[in-house]
Amino acid sequence: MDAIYLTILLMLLLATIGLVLGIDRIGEDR
Amino acid sequence: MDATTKFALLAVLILGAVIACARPLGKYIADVMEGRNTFASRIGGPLERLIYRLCGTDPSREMTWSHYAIALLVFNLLGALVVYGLQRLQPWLPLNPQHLAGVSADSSFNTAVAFVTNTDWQGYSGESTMSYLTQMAGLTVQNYLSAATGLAVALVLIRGFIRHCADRVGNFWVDITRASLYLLLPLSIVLALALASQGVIQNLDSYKTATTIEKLTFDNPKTDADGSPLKDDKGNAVTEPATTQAQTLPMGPVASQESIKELGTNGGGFFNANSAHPYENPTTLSNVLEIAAIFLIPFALTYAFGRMVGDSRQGWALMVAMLVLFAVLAATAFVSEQTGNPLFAQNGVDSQATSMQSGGNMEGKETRFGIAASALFAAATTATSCGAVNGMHDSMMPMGGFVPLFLMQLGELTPGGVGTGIYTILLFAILGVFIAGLMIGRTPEYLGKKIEAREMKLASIFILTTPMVVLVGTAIGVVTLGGQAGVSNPGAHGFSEILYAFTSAGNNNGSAFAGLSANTEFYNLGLGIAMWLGRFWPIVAALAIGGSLASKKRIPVTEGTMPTHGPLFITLLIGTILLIGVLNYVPALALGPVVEHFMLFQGR
Repeated sequence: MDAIYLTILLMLLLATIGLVLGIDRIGEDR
Repeated sequence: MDATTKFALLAVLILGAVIACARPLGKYIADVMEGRNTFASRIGGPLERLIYRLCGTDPSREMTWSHYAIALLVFNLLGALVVYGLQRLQPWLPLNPQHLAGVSADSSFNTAVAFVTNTDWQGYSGESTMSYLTQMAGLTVQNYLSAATGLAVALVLIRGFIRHCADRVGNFWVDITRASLYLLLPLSIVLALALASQGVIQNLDSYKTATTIEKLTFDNPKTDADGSPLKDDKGNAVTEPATTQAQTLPMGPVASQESIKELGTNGGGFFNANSAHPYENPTTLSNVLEIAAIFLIPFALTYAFGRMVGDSRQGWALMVAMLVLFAVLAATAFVSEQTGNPLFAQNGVDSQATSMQSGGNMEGKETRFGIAASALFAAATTATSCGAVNGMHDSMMPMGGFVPLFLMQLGELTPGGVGTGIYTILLFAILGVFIAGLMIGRTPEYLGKKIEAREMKLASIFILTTPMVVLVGTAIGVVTLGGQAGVSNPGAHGFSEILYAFTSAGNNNGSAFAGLSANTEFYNLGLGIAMWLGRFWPIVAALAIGGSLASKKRIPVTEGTMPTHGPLFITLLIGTILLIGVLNYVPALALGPVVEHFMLFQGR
């Protein structure tokens, strides 16, 4: 069970970092 | 003195004291966060520099907004891992005099996310679940760090307005160190001592057993040979009648957690009953102090903002908008609760306020606080991102319950949480000047910065993320068996319970309607995801806007610039906040508290 919840936590972090990088990319295209 | 006068006096007393503190505290916050030489920095400077040296941080090295965001996210993930680990490993760790078992994986996940996101949603009961080490080293530490994180994000957005053609927005490690060391820690020590003077406990003792005067008969759950609860064919617990005269009194380091719980707008109680528990909030004075502490930093930040941008009128304008919205909604909650249940009168029950009784709706409220102080606390805790409760919101009248829901759904900006309130209302201000710009055909600008397409796209991410999390989460809760299983009331009230849970999680409030059994795998996982997305996606958008504004030129004020410190702007800002809140949530509110209100007054 620990592995499942820790993986979910990691996925949430990666999704949020993905948002950071995505927004940063929009800035470069501007 | 009638009940309405009592409520008005209490609100004026508390808000008056908080507003009187806003100027000196706001100036102090601006000074310490901008690194000016102050009395506090002369005392704390050596410790601050030691922290940087131990952590290998160069305080003069600033970050771009994206580096700042990634540092913030990784730091918060590490915090979540520590809280998760402490809960799982607590049977083998010290400071566990009750020998409490390890917390389940799903509940540990939920609680870890709840405390790093400043939500402090509690699906567990503190006194029967958490060791003292988990409470102190896990939950209390996050109470400081999550509040400091919110303040750090607000600083980046404010720097966006101050800086001119800059690509750096500050240093995350410096910002959270200064916020914790110079602001949260000193204020918490003072408040903890004040609360302890009122009877809030502070010890590491094992729980005490008292002998009650009367015998208590209760249904005792039966267990099998392994200690697991027995259930019948329908899945209900099998019980047997039992009698006792023994009452267990939980102990713990409560005052130190209670103070930052309010000052950091966290809201996670040491005990299950939160600030309704006499060891957390024993007296009328402690209740007043706790409400004032919830408001203290968020209101002071409006003055700090005005001072940092060089025009204190800008901060006062935001404060007035916050106060107007809060006053109207808090008064609505009070009137609704004092009016009480109309069906009582039909059945011959006198619920009028007299010198002998409070009247109104006292269900779920503490008699030592009464209706006025309970309604004000409920409004204060949801107008900020606090989430502490001194009464049960599930027992409020339909429109009384509507107020906490709507205050959260407006985005918790009246005055909002530590840092989160000021950056949220600034986002609405940006949206407001954009709408005004569209109406008069000029390029919108705010505090000398042009508001363009990029800022509006980011503001859209900020404003739409939370309603999406709340409404999609509620929809899933309503249609799935896992979601329905936690509801204790059928119909509109049951819908409100699910809506409230996702509203509280998505807006990082943490208060509960109290009628929902939320310590299930469905709610622990669903609300955990809602809390993370509702916290960090808007934070990323706010940081990106801060970075975008900092990179722009400051343009001079001209005759064509819309003033953003007068009544016109305040009205525009209030209108924008209400418009967004109403458009997002009215359909959901209509299915919950609004329909329940009309059914009640039709006698159904």
